[in-house]
Amino acid sequence: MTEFQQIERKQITFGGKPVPVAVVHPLDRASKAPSVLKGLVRGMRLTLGYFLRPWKVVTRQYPENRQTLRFPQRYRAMLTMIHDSQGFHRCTACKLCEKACPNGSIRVITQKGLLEGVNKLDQYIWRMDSCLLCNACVQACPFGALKMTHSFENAVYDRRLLVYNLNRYAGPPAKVLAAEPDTAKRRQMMEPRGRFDGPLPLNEGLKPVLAKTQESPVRETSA
Amino acid sequence: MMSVGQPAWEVVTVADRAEYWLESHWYFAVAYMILAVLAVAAMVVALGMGLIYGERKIAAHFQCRMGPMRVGYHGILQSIADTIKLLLKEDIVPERADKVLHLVGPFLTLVVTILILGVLPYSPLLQLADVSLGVLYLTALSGLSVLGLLLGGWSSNNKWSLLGGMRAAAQVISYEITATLALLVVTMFAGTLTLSGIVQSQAQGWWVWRAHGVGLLSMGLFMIAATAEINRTPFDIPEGESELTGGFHTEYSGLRFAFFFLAEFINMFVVAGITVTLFLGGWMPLRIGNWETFNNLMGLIPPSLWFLGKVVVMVFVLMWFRWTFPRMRVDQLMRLEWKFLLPIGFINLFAAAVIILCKWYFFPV
Amino acid sequence: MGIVLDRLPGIFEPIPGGSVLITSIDAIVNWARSNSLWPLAFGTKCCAIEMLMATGAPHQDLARFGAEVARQTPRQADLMVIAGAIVKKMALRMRLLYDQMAEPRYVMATGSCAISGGPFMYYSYSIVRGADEIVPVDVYVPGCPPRPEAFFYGLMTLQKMIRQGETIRKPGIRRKPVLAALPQGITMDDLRVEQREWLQRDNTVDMAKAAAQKTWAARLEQWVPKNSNNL
Repeated sequence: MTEFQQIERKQITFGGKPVPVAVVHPLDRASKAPSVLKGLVRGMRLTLGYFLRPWKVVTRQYPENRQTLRFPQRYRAMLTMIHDSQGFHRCTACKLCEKACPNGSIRVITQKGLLEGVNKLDQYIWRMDSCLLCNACVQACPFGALKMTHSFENAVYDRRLLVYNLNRYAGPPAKVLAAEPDTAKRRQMMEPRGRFDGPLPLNEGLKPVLAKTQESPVRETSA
Repeated sequence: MMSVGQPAWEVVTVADRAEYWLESHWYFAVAYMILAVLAVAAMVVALGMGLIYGERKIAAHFQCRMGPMRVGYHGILQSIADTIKLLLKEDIVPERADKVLHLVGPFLTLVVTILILGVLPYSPLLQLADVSLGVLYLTALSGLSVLGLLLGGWSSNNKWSLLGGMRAAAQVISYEITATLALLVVTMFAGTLTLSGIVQSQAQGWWVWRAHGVGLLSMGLFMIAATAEINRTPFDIPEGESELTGGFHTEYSGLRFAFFFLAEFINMFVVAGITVTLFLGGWMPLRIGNWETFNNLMGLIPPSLWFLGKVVVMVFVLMWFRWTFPRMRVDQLMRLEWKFLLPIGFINLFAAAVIILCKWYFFPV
Repeated sequence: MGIVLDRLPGIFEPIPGGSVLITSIDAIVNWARSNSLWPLAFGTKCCAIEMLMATGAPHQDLARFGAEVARQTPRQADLMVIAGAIVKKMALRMRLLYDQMAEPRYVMATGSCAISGGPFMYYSYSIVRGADEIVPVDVYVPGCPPRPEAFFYGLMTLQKMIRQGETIRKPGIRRKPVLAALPQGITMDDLRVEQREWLQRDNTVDMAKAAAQKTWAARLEQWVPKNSNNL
């Protein structure tokens, strides 16, 4: 189908002047007709083949196949802080993830700890509405405190519900807490934090920047 | 050349019945007419919904997927949801659009389609009116349908809609010629313009094979030309979304758009109906000469079921075209018609005339 | 016929048993509207491939929801799927398209860029920080880009809102069941009591007023040089 028709270019004299013309032979075009029709029929046979074999349908019906959905292991849909069986997390509030995040979707808020000079985690604010799920924070964390999970059903009606705390308690990480034998004292070191503590209402202190010269929220919110 | 076979069916149209009662009890005639109108309205609605659902499911299965699945059992209620939603949408008329023409455009398109629905012979006893100029009536109405497209494009006060409307008009009036030439071949063989006459003339066999190669070629020409007349792929440039954002129906929403949408699907049925009536025997059963048992068996199936079955097959073929072929550019479209289909149509007509005059046919015509 | 629908509550309310009729009409109308959402494919960036093209493809089929008929013209579309970042130049045109849509119209912001500016939230001279600066958004689907299944979940959330939140008694007012959709793994207990009240307080949205309040796009006039043929 890609062979071009024969075009014969020659010069004729018209009114005494030489004029270049291209002569197209119409029967050349007509001789392509059978191959054109064959191509059309081939296409129609293909679609009819799929129509007559409805078992070849490849659709995965989402709401009905929820129980059997499998994703690649590296699929990233939501960030979580890993809490072990005793409920301890591993975050030391070193803020490496906050620095690694390309657009400031993580804010780590710290408070002075019982141990002198060492800050502990107060709130770990993660903005799902601006997170690009790039995994930089997970890779940057030297303690492996973060993890990306497969839970993708996160549609909301209100944008404020996409900014929340990832840590369930404010306090030292698992290493420190495990070294403390007394459970009562341990519980005293941990203050529970809810999912929406702090960030709601939306971003009163977390305004995005419009240009580099304007205020940068990084300096604003560290305690 | 009169070629009516043994009249095994008696053809009575609703217009005949109304006319019969007109002198004595005129109210029966009025009742018949009102009944006819209601029947056509019901048919339009049912056909529209059924065809839209069928189109979505068939298109899906052509493309290895399933169509609407969640709305009813396998999506049966999808058309109803679409219809209700379209009816209740806000009606937007652009500020500087021509208000009257904006209203008339979609109505005209739908009305022309329904007018053709009224003359198709669905069965010997189920034809609304047997116009004595049947084939000419069909040609005239397809000429009128251009007006709806032009009005839609012009009245929107939108230069892209206007371009879409002009393209649609050019396409439709070009392909009407080929369609008419193809219809004329069958008219010549059948010897009559009336649609029921043409159906009855196919008692010995359908024109698509009884008129030898000329019949087959005519049917092919008519299918291509009719696909272009109703603006369906591969000829749907006027409404191609990537071309003109909707073409002539860009500025229509709600009920007016529903009319355009419905008209497209009913047009599909109408074109299939005309093809079936003229080339595939209408309500005539399949008849292979001398196979008496077979012929009797075929005759047992009611004629309206024959018509419906054939129309379903033709509609399926039209949808098959749509979901297989890519869209043609507008210059390729026009070239196809004026440089290929028109000469072939004329040669076809001439050959048919020669065949009839010289009696060069093998089957008893 | 929308006019007929607006008058129906006035006609049926006074009749005894009229409320039941209105409720059932509501149910039918909302069912129809939620099951035949025709998207306006407003794909600007990478999300368009997932949200508009991959969901229309056979593996995940948008036609199952009845939403395959993606009209390119806003007059015939119900749902504006904002798939991609909105650049300031595009903001005006997006607002134009939103204004041209016929009621009832819904907006779904998919992907981080459309919700909050996404990757460009921190430094960008040209990206609008979230589509809801320009048009009132009904559903936000987070992700970068969200999977087609996540988009379907968002679509089902929108369908839930249409079925529960609209009534013909109050046309143009939409009640967003804000707390009915929470990100996965989050329970109502996580929302402290006062925050719950706070979120429920501005639950009801008057769509006309909400649409008129977004004047950000109008402020964009200053970005478009005068006498340019950008518009």
